[in-house]
Amino acid sequence: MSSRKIRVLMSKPGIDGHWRGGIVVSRAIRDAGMELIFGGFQNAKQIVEAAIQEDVDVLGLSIHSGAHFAYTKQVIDLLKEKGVFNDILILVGGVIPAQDFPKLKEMGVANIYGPGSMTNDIVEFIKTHLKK
Amino acid sequence: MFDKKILENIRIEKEKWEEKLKESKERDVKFVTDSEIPIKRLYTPLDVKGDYLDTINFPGQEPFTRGVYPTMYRGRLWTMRLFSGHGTPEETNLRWKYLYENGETGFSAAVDALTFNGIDPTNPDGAPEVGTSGVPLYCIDSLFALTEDIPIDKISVALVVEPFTCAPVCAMYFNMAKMRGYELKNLMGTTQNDILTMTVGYIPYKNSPPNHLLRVACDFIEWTVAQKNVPLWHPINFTGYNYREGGIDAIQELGFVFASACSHIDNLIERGWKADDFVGRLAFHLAAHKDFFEEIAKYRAARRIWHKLMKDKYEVKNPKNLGFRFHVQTAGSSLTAQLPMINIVRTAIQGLEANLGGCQSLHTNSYDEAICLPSEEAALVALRTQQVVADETRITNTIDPLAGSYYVEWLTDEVEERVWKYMDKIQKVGSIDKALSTGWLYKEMRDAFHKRRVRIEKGEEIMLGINKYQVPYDTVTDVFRTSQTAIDIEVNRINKLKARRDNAKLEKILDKLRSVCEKEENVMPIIMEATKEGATVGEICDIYREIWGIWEPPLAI
Amino acid sequence: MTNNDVIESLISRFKKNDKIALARLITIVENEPEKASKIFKHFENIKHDSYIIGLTGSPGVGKSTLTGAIAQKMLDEGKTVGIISVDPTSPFSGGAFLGDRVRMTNICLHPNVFMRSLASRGYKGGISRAVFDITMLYEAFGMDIIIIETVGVGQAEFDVYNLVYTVVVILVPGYGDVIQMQKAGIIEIGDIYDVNKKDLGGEDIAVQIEMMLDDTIFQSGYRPPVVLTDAISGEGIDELLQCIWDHKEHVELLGIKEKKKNRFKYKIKELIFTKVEKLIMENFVDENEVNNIVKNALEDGKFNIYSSIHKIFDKITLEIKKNS
Repeated sequence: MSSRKIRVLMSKPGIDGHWRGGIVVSRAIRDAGMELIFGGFQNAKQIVEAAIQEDVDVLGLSIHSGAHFAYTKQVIDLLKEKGVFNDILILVGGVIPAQDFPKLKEMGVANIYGPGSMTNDIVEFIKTHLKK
Repeated sequence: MFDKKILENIRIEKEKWEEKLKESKERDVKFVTDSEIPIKRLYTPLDVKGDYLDTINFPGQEPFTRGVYPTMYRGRLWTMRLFSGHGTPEETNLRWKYLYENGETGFSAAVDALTFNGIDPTNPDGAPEVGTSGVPLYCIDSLFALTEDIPIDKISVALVVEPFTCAPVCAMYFNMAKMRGYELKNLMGTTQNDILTMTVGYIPYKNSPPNHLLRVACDFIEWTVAQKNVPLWHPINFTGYNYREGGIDAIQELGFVFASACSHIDNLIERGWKADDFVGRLAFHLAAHKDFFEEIAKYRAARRIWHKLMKDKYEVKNPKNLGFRFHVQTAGSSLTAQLPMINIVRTAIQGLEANLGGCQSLHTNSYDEAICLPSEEAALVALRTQQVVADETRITNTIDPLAGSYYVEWLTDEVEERVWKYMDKIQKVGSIDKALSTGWLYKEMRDAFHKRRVRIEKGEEIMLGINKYQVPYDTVTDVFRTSQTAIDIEVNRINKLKARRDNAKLEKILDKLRSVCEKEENVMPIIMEATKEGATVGEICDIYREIWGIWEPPLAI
Repeated sequence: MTNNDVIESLISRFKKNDKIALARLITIVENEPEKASKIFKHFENIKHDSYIIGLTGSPGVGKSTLTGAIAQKMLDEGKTVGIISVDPTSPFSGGAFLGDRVRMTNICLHPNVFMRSLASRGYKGGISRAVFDITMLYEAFGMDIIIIETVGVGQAEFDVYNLVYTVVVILVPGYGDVIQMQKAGIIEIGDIYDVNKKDLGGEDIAVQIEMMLDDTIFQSGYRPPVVLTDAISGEGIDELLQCIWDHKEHVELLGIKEKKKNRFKYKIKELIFTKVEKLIMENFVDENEVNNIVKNALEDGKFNIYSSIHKIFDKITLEIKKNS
């Protein structure tokens, strides 16, 4: 009897204290029946180590500092180096200008959620796009 | 307030009028304020309680319902102060001058996340955020660059830093001012120094526990005002705005602010000061949100509550110390990335609320607020928005023009009553640091945010572009990008400073700071010395961390 | 790759100390418990034992911060540490919010530590099943110490403490008085009592616990100590750790075999019960019949409920005989 649960890690790369968005999405993910591991403030190494040890299906990066390119690149480079990039669905949310979506996708982000995003859409996307 | 016989006639006529209404249908919506106060169809003299001279009175007279000054905007317009900072101190200096040339009358430094949290740019964990959300102020040299060619003796500067980094950043500012030849006793300005901003407004990164934050906040009030080192400074600005943005309502906003103010006053009284020694310099920063009349009632009620608190609870003697002076910021959370031009309209209406409510100073948001730091163009539009109110509308002709509105007077009473009740609730939990460390305030914030979110998702609270007349999130706004080279510039600035300073001498001063922190003495004198010798904000905060530990706030989801 | 190949390949990586493989094997035992035996058969030559410590306390007492602080000290002493942090699954959504990791960010990059957040997943015996299997994996991985951290509410969570050798109960001022603790049962299971958040006035509660322990007779001659800590400043952590080592010494002196026996016995019984319950539920309990009884109880009156159930019981006895 398999009771596989989707496991999601929600992280705040860097030091910016806008946690609200990440927490709201975390709550929605839990309420959708998934297991949400809350990472809080983490640097790229800590994020990747947590993603590995928790064996997550999804990694959410909540970034409101304007430094989304720098942090996302650090995390994705490290996921690739550790050989787990292909197993984890990467989502980015926060104050991300729509102009930056294409470049983030090119870097390996599966989807981006800017201001005014609805949590239902995020949950639905996760359910239909898991990598493993 | 009205003659009994007149009131009786009104009551009879009102009943007749209501009888006629029975046939008419009203829209199927909840007629409530943003804080869910039920609102009647109509307000009449029957709703206005209290005696005019007791509860409303004249401007500049107790209980200050109509304003703290006798002339209000006929005497002097509010200060137009835009919260501003990005990239490097030099770039911010240019922006400040640009706004000054365009009629801004006060400065306010928005600092970056590293300055808020006492992290130096040499720390790789925060390095990508140098200058991305405000101006980096890491050492005394940054303060020189920020204020270059600005007459800081004539125009007041607000330093928006919170208790964790208040002492080092302000000490750097004061040292800079002294070196430039200004006397501290004449220096004017404000430090935010608000314990709740970087705890429940935003989540702190490696800050110390709340009891220590409360103490250093009070150290600063004590050193500047009570001990008269910088007597004209506003050493604290209770910033309801920042947590209001997190979803709480107008009642909670005032409840948080006053409960916090009381905890600070109590702390200073425990140190042996009298309320009259410092309360006249305490300042407030409130939000102007979406509910037009409720916000105006909030400002009027706030003045009355503060007056009563000072007079009855703290037995303040000097009438000058009874007035509630406040800055207002229009509501960033009411703005949308979708339909950015509509943000200008929203901001104009909110700015008008603040002015009709008698604010002393105002920040109006930029239309690109939901996406990035303000571009020069967006900041100028924001400034012009309040200038339209000031120069074109003629609302400044008379003082408190909404007084006497049956609705506004009733709502002012109602808000006041509800705030007193809410304050009781907070104070049952304990002092403000206890309300933080026990997690109580976090639960209040969580519940409020969740409630608002459900309201928005159900369409009960309308946001154009989001849940009505939806438009997709798009690239319509030009994005203002902060400088990519800021990180190199700031690391360089710190390295130069470190090469120049007397490290051996500084080490000794920092050791003294360690002992001051251990003994829980006032940190200001030694931090004045340390920053003068070139200590960085990060170096000082590392000592706080070493001695007081790092606090992880309670998680409430 | 077939399922077996996947496991084989993970095992070979696991034996090379690959944390990714350990993480994947945990996921497998958690989601597909029936595969545990396929995994564990590869460990038959491993004789390594870990010392297993449990930390329990209500939400908000600072368990995770304390776990992080203790683990840091153990790492400093050169030990390898495996951590399991259990949080409740929501009975409504089946989801869980696992927030313990956020308190352990500082230690998570140490090469000698592995930390896994676990949702209780609600079903009976579920927590201890997954916890037991993960401790087995940690033991095979060579961990010196295993720390299991759970919210001490509900029977299922108490059961976890049959699986550990030292139980630390964490309390904070304001949690309630000692009478309430007794009612909740937490006062009986501790080998060590830790009063955290000393700054909020922990002395009073520590005294109350001391008094109550004084009134209790401990047959083994070991009397649980009470420690005051402040996980934020690090105050009292050394003392708490010393108490853990003291208790460990006591357990080893008495013979850790007893504790292990208890652990395995508990586990085996639980496995049998789970199996039997499943058999009964699948083979003998007809959901329609249950629904009918409910319907009748609603319509004809609740007083017939026992006689209706007994009709089902009779049938079960009969069927078991048939099958045996």
